[in-house]
Amino acid sequence: MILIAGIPDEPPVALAIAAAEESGAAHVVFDQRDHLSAGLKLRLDAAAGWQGTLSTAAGVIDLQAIDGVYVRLMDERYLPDVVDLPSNAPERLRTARFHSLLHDWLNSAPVRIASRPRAMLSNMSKTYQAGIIHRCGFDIPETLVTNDPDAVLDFVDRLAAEGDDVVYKSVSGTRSIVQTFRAADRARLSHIRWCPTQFQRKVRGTDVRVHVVGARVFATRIESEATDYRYSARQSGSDAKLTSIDLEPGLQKACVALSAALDLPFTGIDLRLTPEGDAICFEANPCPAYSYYQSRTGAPIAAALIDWLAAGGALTRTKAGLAPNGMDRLPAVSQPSA
Amino acid sequence: MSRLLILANPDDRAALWLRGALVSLADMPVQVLTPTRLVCARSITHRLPSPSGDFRFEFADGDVLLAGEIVGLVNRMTALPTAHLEFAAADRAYAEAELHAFLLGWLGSLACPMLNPPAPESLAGAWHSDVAALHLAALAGLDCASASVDADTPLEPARATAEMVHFVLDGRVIGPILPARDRDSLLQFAHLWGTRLLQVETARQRGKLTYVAASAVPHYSLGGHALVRAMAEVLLA
Repeated sequence: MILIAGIPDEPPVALAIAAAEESGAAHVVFDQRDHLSAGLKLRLDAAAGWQGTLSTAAGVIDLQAIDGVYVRLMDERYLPDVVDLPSNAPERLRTARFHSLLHDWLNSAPVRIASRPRAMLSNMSKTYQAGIIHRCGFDIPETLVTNDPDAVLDFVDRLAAEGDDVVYKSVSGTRSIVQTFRAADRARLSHIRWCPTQFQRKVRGTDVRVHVVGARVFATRIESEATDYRYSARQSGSDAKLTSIDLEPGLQKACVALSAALDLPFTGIDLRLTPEGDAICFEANPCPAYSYYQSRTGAPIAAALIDWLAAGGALTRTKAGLAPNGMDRLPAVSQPSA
Repeated sequence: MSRLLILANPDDRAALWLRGALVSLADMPVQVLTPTRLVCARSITHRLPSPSGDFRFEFADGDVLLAGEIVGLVNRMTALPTAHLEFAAADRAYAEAELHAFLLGWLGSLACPMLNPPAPESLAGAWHSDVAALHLAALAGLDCASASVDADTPLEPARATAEMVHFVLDGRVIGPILPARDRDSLLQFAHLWGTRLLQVETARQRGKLTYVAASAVPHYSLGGHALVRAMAEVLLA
């Protein structure tokens, strides 16, 4: 049984649900919007770890029956029914406890999970993650993080002399629009004195988004005139063109290895392939919004995700021979008692 | 100037105790660097890629900290200094996230021995909730009180009172002598925790080593000079 946890009509979640329905994979959906009424009970078993139930108005999910989980939960602080409440409001405190406990289970459950909340945190710092990416053998862009305007100007001038531009963007996982450093930005540089800011050599080449699902790889070439192709229409006046491509086998293996090193079985790796043939890696997105790419290329990413999660159940059965406790599994979803 | 650094708040008594204990074991300065001094440096530059961390901090008093100068680092940065971001108002949350990300990236880039390396969930090193810690302890073979928890009922504090404190440092157990099986459990627990130095509090119940609490930000004085000597060996390696 696959658990899909998120907002059901959000495109990546909706595609995963559709893929599960199409493939006939047994699945159950936890709608995160039910967080205030949802219950989660766990008890520690010394041998089996945490066991318990996740309950909503739709039914009770026996967590022991779950073989795989697709996690696409939004930050609970920004859920619509609590976002405007004071930080000490009972609803906010309760939802924080609920999500903390859910994350505890997701971090420890001995089943396939795409991906564990703990592993997703590496993307909170692009420079921290860049260190892991570099140690995995990928080149990364030349980067300066600084609060010193003079250091920025030296960096910009040196790269300009080499014929390259500089871009700036957030260091954290907070989404930001990548911008090219322009002459007008020089006058604003004093703002960085309060907080180190990330500047990068603008790498020339073709953007490629690589989605890794287990050991499967789906690569998409993106053609755009924009600095940040996600905002292509705004920055360049035309949409980006996306095309499925095959990566050379060595690069495919490197992407799978990076995904494994980050403990992210489902990840979206941002590469730029340079005219010289090098692959520069910018980051690995721990919970990729793959629907944008799937809808434009037809790559069966959601189907691969469901296949990978469903295979976790087959592995469990192969290893154990029987369901837990040697008993046939009970239905995963049942109506709550009155 | 080569130095051992302890990254800690100025009122961190464990850090101050450790500094005093390390001074006699290191033939170089042992300095406490506060997170506030670090983030309020007049000039900060951190460059990537670099195999050994390429950075420079220039502080308000003119002192400069360069990458090659840190021989070893004791990392106790449990909180992010953010008072200087108060002016940011609407952008404060973003600025805090950016500052945290910078510090995580900088600490993660250091090539020197570090106790403990940072982790995305905590700048001071791997951290686990009480629920997760209990699970790790059970997996490691430590006895655990039966526990139930739900979203409306937080995990109850451990019923046992700590009777023993051990420190696990890079595969060594420092503290009262234990049977080999219990030592192995502590080693496994620290491995599962994912950090180099871990303080583990236990009790003996029904003849079994029972988990009570753990911390990757230890009280070094409880480990005495055996712990400090072991830390010095790691930090000066």
